[in-house]
Amino acid sequence: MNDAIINKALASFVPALLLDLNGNLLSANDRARGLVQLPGGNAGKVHYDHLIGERTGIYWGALLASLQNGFKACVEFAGPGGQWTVWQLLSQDEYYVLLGQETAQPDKLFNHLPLGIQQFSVDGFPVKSNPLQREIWGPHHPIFIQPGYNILRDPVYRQIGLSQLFEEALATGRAVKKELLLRYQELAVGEAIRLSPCYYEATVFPAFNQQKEITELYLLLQEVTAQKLKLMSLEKSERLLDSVVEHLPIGYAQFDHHGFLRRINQYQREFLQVVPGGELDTYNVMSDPFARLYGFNEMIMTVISENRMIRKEIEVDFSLETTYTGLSQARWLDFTFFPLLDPIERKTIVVVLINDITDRKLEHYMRTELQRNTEQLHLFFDAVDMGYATLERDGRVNFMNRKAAQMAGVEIQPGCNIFDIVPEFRTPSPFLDRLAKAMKSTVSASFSSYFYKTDKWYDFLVTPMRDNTVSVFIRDITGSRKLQKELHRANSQLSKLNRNLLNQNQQLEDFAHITSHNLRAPIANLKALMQLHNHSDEEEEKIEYLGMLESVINKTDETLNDLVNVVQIRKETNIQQEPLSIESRLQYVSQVLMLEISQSGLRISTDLQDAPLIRFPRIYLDSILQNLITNAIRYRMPDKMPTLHFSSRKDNGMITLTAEDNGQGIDMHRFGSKLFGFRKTFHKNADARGIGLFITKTQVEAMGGSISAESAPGRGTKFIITFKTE
Amino acid sequence: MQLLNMIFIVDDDPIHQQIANLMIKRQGIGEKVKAFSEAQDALNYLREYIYEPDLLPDLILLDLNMPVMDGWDFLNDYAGFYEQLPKKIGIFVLTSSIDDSDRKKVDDYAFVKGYLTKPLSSEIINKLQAE
Repeated sequence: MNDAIINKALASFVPALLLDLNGNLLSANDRARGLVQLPGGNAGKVHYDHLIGERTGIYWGALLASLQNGFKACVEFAGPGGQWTVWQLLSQDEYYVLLGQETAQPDKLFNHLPLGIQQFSVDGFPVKSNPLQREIWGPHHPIFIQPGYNILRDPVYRQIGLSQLFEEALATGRAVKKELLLRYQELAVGEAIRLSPCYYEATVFPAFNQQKEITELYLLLQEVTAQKLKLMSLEKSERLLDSVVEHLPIGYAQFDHHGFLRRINQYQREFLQVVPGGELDTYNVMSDPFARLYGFNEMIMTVISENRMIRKEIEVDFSLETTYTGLSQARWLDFTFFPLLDPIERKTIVVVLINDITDRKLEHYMRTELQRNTEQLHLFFDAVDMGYATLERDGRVNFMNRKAAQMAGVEIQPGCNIFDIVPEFRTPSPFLDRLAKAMKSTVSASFSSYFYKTDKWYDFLVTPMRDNTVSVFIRDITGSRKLQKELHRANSQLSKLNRNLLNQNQQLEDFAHITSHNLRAPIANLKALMQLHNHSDEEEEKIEYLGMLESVINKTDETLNDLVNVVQIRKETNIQQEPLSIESRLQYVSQVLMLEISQSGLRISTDLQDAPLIRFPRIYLDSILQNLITNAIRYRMPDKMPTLHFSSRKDNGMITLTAEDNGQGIDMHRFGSKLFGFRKTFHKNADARGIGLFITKTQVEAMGGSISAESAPGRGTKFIITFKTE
Repeated sequence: MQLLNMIFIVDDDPIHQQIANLMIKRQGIGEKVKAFSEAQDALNYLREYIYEPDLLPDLILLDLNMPVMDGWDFLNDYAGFYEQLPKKIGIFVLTSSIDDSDRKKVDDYAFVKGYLTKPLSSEIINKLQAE
């Protein structure tokens, strides 16, 4: 019968398409050509999918599957004139025929449903689907292209539970639905491709015949991705919020409008060291005596009744409470009570945020104390009569007391740099070098400096502190410096006076000694002679005594004259001094002693280049030189040509003149201490009066100098005279 | 009263030598008076006649303040050999010095019998005789 229909159809009355076993179009009659809009001529190499499948979403595989599964394999679409045709696939031995039949617009609701809908056979084979459903699956879904596809056996849909929906609908006869992650959509995000999940609400419901038997199953798919993502986001937010509250780094507690504790976060539980078995679940802030002690019940009431926030810092002594907490110590807590409306129960709940501020309070207390101490310290440093400043290493001022500011002479604010502000610190100076060095040093340094402009002496002590700043102590030592100077001057004068006094005392002692020995001797003689004279009866004897008396008196006169000379020298310390050339004075004295020099054959040599001049009384220098030359002549070796060498040199601000002869020399061991004594002679020389060296010593010492001698018998004598240069 | 055999006057002052000589002679305490202007000469004499007691003096009047060798040098030297002398010689310091330090220093020499200050008077000579 099919053959007859096909043949008839092909004869052109009925629209008919002849297809090979793979769905390729073999031929079509004119009527069919018009409806499928096949171009005229050879229809070869055109496939069903190209001709109809792409237009309808029912591809060759699906159509053929329906036929092979014993269903009516149909496909419908509208022709160019809007005329709808339903095409049924029929099988022949070696080909297929699609026969068309014009029909009214079929299943308008089915095709235009704003949901995806698809008809399945009761055993899971796809029958037909609307365009939206085809769009959901996509053209390459196995449901369309895989012959014999069965949704009940699809492993993917079994895994996500879609296949089971069909079985449940079949088993229960009722519609069942489920939200499913059905596929992923590729979204271009910039240059990357991101896979975005697509959620669908799948509904499977059965259709019945008149005998109440399920004849087919329908699958409805509605995309719910947006709602699902929104919901998931909301859930995520809730979970996050929950986690945030639990792990807040401050205490969180939540009370319902009856005062029952509904929630307490981990931080607060740990802070309170919640006692095991403390039954926090039944805790009520309104009835807890400990909470009432601090007025928490009233605060909760106020928050609820006045619907406002309360914030309070309270020191809570947890040692008074042992039922719920093991903290057992006093802590400062910052409480924030605020009302919230429970969205479900529509009741006001109270959330309490608890922050432990004990450390902050302690720090605040410490800081206040520190500030008070600092202020007191500053007051103290302002009161002391000493400059004090604390500075950064680079010179920035942290603090400077009033006295230091006065010393600096400029107004200095904390933060200023002393090297920029203080005028004396801008120009390089030894003081500035020392200060800069001390400020970088790791050990204390002290130094004094004079400031010319202000005529002030300051003593500085720069001490490094532990915080890498430096403390500078400044003391005005101008007064003590001046006093010290005065004292030094007075001391020097006193010392000079003392030296003079000692000198004078020594001279007095010397003089007493001289008087005792040298003056008393002739007096004693006079006395003795007078006694002899008075007791003598012989005139001749008396005349002899008187002659002796005259001799004694002459001797006494001579001694007295010598002493007067000495006293005169010692008295005349202010005798005029003048710059004298030693060489020229030597020449002058040599002229005076020319006769003695020539008779003795004394040869005088000099080396006076180092110190040719001295400042000295001319008469004294002449006397000294004369004595030295006379001594060299008087005590020369009888068998030797006498020589005398003068040399002078400068040494430590003094001028030393030495006179070295080659004479008899003196036994210094025996006579050293008496060498310069009055009327001391050491040789059996008739001319020796023992006065020359005494006068020389007196003259040298009167001018602040000194004289010494080096000598040995037979080896000459060296006199060393040191002149004070000032 | 025993007459002293020999008296030494050791003094550089010739006037004093004369006065002393006269005084001693007048008082008649010594037979011979020998005067030395140099202390060294006196010492030399003592050393030379150290084994001839008859030629040694019984008394020495010693001045302190003398040139070249003074009285102290004499005493120091004399201290080195006086114990070898065959007889005791009485030494008296006869000086014009009234300096206390000189007086005390003389005490250091045990063999010095006394410290006398010039001028040599009859009272002093009487005292010497008594000693």
